Amino acid sequence: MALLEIENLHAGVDDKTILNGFDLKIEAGEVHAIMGPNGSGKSTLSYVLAGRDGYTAQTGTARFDGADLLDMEPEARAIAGLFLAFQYPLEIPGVTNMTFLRTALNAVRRGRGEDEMDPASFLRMVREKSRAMGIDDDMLKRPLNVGFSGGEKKRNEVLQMAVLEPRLAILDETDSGLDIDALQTVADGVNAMRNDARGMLVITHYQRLLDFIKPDFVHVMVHGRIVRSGGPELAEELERSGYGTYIGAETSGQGDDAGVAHA
Amino acid sequence: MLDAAAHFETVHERLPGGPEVLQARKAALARAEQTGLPTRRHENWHYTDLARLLKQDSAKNPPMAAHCAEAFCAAALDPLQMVFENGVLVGAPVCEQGVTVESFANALSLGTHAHKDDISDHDMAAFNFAMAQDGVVLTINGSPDRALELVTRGDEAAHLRHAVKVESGTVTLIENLQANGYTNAVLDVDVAAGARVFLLRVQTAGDHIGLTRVKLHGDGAFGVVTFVTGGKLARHETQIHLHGTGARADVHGAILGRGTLHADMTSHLHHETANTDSLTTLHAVLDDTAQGVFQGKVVVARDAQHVDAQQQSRAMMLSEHAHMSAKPELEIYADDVACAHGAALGELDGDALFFLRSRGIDEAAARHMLISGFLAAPLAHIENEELRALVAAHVAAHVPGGDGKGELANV
Repeated sequence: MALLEIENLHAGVDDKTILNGFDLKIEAGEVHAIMGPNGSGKSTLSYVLAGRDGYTAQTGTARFDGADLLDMEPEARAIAGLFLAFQYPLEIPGVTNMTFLRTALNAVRRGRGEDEMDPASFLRMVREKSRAMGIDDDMLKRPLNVGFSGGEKKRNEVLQMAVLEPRLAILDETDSGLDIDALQTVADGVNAMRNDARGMLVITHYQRLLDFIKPDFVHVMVHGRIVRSGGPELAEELERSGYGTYIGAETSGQGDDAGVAHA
Repeated sequence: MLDAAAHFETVHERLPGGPEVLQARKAALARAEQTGLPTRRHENWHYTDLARLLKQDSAKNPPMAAHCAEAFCAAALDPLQMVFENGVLVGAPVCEQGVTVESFANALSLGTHAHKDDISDHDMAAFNFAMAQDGVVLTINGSPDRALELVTRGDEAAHLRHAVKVESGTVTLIENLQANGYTNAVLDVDVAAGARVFLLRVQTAGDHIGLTRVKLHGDGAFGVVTFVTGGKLARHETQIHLHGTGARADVHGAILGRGTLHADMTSHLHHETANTDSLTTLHAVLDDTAQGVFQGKVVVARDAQHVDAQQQSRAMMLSEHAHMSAKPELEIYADDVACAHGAALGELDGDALFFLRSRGIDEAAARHMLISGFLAAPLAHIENEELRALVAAHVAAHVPGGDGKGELANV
């Protein structure tokens, strides 16, 4: 059974259809990259999969380990093992990073029928994983993401991923706003989590991130669907030729279906 | 309470003080009766129409959920406690190094309290002086090891008058307001040059009309953090005179309003001299049909240069039927000052809620986390860590969606 299997998904925000017959299958152990121009629906896909309010599916299915993902509350998806690294992580005043991480981990463990982690083991585990992400004690004691730089927020997303150990991680434009050093740190953190049981979906506009996180498969997304799939070499080709040919082909080939359709 | 004159007739013989005090009480009552209970026509009471609010039959108010009545408990701090049951001090005042305690009733009877100062009182303070049953007269010299806690309990109407004089040192006061009935309290605080006073006030029940008047001398500091987590009516007015250079005032409020609670935080900061600072904030979380009021007035006197006075009110509205009024008021007569005010009003952030839920935290716990986080700002103004933890636990236990254990202390 595939870890994630999306078939003919039409979905959008309110009454706007943005995903337009989207198909994707990710097996455990695979890293897929989705590349596409602005407005192609990449972030919408991540929000629909994570269950954000207002992002609803009209037709089609998304199954996570066989279960109907679209029918689950956001927290149930997290408990099932789905993780979304946000493009723009939220600032939560008054809630320390540490409290947040502990609350999240224990919520997920309870949801999976496991015992909560005792405070001492938790502290040891978080310190170790923080060090790997270049996150010091001060950042753990500060309110979640408040006053964090762009790079700190992204590193913090990867820390959350490392703590929650999801089965499928979706990285939404994790490279945006990162300088080369921060990109390396973030990529190292993600690569350290690659294994046979875990799937990853890397969403990005640029090929740059894929120099650091090597995907097994690359998909080109235009107007809410995948228009081409291939190996890592596809990313390099895109970097050279741009998205122009795909946008043109899609527009001329699909007629009324192009762009954002109204349901 | 509503018919003050009749009430006065029945109780005045039992009120402390000799004939002279009685004369002063009668004069205060006459003045108070002239204006009556404040209504919307009184600018200072525009958003809290006492005449109307106190007329409401309290039996018609739906009872607050049982856990809202849970009182705040500071026992873990081992404070020097003075308990007022139905307006009267229970037991003898206790002793502590550097602290002189006398009951207000005693001070009036012995004529040691200079009540002449009270004659100029206006509106509710005049009612208060006319009816004052008891209170505490505290003189503090040096820094007492323990916090001083005034606890208000009981079901009957109570009129309390406290006077605190801090001659030197640093002192922590706690006003623990748990009376179910109507309480009218006046607290006068005199902070000597260089002395520091911190006041934590927690109201968990009843109808409380409070006036705190503070005089700050040079380099003196006064900070108050008021938490309203229960009750039906809360009016906490703070008047501070920054009288000496280097004086600093902090006035912070937090409202966790549910049911029909009406909570009003009114402050008047008078910067009378140069180089004085003040910071006034309110964080209100309003659910059901709760009403929040922020009235903040800052006056900077002529020649009071280099004054820094900041004001901020924030409200988180959890219900369409909740209501918030915010009125900042700046009166500045000096030209080289930094004064600012801001007011923000919003709902619980849906994006933040989704972010937390996407990490496995269920909706109720995520809401609890966001509301507790919002109220962490006023908590941060409580310097004493132990006290802050106690209040944080109290607040967490009252925020909807928690597990009731009050475990989530975020600061």
